[in-house]
Amino acid sequence: MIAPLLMMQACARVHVDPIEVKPIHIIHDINIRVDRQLDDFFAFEAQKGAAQPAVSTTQPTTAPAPSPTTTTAGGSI
Amino acid sequence: MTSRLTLVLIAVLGLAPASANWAAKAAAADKPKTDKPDDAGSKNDARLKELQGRFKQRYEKIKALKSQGVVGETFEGYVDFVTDKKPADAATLVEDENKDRKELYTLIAEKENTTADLVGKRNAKRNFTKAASGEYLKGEDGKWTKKA
Repeated sequence: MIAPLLMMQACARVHVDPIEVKPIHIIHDINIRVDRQLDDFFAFEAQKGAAQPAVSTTQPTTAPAPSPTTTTAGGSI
Repeated sequence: MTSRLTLVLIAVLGLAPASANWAAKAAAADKPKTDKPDDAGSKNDARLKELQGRFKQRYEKIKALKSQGVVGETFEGYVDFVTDKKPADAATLVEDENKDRKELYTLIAEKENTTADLVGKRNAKRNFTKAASGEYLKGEDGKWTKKA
């Protein structure tokens, strides 16, 4: 007898208030999405910039001659 | 006693479908709605690819004009001549660049449900940040300033 009454209480309806999105969040989201679209579209500019050799303003330094590589048989870890 | 129990059982069984309906409605509300057609999106993507190719072709020439101080970026996201001196070949290049930029902004604006002006201003902000030292930038006051 008590069990059905308990079950009725468990079937209570829950009312949830609708989620409200403030306008400033919408503007911020649009700006981020637009910036992303533009970055994707103009990605070739960054690639071209990276492909160009960097201009060095420092004085050239003489690099040491590379030492001949020696191979040893059997390595230890 | 038994009639009372029967009434209680009937009440419980009557509430069960109602709770099932509520669960179904909650699940339907959570499901994201996708109403946008795919054909317009793929057409826009193809057009964007085409535009990207044209921008790539002009990129080095526009960059050279910027470094020479002939043209600069404006706060609206377009390219304009810094002085009244407008060589003919540069004028054609600038006109084509701005025309394609306007179309680009319109396509992105349609995609993101906003205005082409907003997209242009966001691009201007990017270009102002990326501008090299010595290039000219036109602010909202209409004055050209040289980037330090």
